[in-house]
Amino acid sequence: MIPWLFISGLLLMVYGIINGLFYAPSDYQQGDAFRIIYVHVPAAYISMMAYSLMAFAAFIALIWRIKIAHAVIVSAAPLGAWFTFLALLTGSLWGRPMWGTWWEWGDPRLTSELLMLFLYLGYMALRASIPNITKADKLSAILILIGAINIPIIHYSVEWWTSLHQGSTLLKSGGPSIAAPMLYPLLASIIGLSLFFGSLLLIRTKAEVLKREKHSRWIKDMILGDEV
Amino acid sequence: MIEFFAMDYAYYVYISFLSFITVVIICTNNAFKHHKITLDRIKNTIHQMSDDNET
Amino acid sequence: MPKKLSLIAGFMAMFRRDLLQYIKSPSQLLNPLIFFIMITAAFPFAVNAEKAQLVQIGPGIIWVMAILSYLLTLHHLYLDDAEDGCLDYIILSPQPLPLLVLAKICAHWISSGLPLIIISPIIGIIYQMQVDTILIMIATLFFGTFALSLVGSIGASLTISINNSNILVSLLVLPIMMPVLIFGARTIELYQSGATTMSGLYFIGAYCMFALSFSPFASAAALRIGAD
Repeated sequence: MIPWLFISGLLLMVYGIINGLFYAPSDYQQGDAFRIIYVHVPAAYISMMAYSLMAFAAFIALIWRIKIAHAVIVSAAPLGAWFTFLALLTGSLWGRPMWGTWWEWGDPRLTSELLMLFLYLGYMALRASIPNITKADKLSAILILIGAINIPIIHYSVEWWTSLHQGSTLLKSGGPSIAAPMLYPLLASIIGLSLFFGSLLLIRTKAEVLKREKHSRWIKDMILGDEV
Repeated sequence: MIEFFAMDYAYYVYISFLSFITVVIICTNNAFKHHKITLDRIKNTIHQMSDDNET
Repeated sequence: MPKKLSLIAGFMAMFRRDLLQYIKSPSQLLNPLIFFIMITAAFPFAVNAEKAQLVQIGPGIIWVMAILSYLLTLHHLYLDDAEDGCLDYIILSPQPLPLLVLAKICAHWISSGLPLIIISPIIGIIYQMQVDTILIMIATLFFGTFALSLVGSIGASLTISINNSNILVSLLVLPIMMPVLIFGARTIELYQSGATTMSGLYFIGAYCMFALSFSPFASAAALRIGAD
């Protein structure tokens, strides 16, 4: 399953980006700089989805004590942190031509994305400093849940504070406010990046489970079975 | 098809696309490497154990 | 058979014990306060000390420094008890742990938050604030520091099993404290520029209540896991 996800994700992403980069007509207001949307929006979307996923997994792990959920959280964190960083970087690159500044403190989405990066880093720092794995799992899951209050703040901050950031392009009532030749590459790159993220997450989780269960019988059987 | 460097703000656009690709590559590389290293390590210990059993 | 204490008696006993402990070591109480005063007094030396500028940056500096000096006090919350073993008894006691945690948080707020609020008018005067602005500042600090105690308790309880956890606590807690900082400082600024301030105060109050509803439970869970 992993290779299928990986390859289809990669293909969709390549399609979306190439189309977005070269073929989509340029925006009449923003010119060609709007093309950054094809990397900025998917990255921001993934960074939030990764965090929601981690919060969901943390919830499951703490309530029903399912071990694999912890492995999912651990594997999702570095990926999420990378894409948060990417969303910040491209957001800032987009802000420079559009707003005339690299960084706009008044913009709530930019700042809460930064806070989310701090949450990811704090999570990883907490994990790294607790040697006992089960303890680290549970404590960091609590931290994730607490940090999850940050996600609604990110989402609603657009309405809470007036800001420079344009409203969301996709999630509007009355259909997306974007022309079809611009829209399809965007959707393709979002879905593609999600699939890609999913495949990487699965690989990392697999490795994490292997690491945690290295003394158990089935792993030994599996590896010896592979070699026969 | 649009000219490569003729679009406005070309550098901003290209830097952001390049950074995107870089991050994707870094993540992929990390994930596969991580997976391979764990697998190798486990294989080594298992082989060691079976070697110990034989001797 | 020992006499069973009522919930309120248990709360009061814990509360009184913690307060006594804080009173008996005045240097613990005073050092963060002195730090607060010295740092805020250092700013006018570092930046240009013109009156208009001081008025402009005052609220922000006071709030940031209040949070910093607050972070210095957080490790007294659980770490001292964890070191001499009292914490195990507290966890084992028949009283519900979230209640005892809440008692500890209240004692911590009275010993660290209230003194901060009491000396804040002096800092306000240094920063050329008007009397009514100082009143608004006290109101924001009042709710804000209580929210800081609540949120900080989570960070402190997550890290009890780690040595040298001071910086880590700050890393974990700062992003979660950020809404308090933003609204605290902005409310004072808004008041200075003559706009309405009640919404900011409401927000801090709401955040405080929200933290009150989950912080004792999260801290109690983290303490249980950490003390295993």
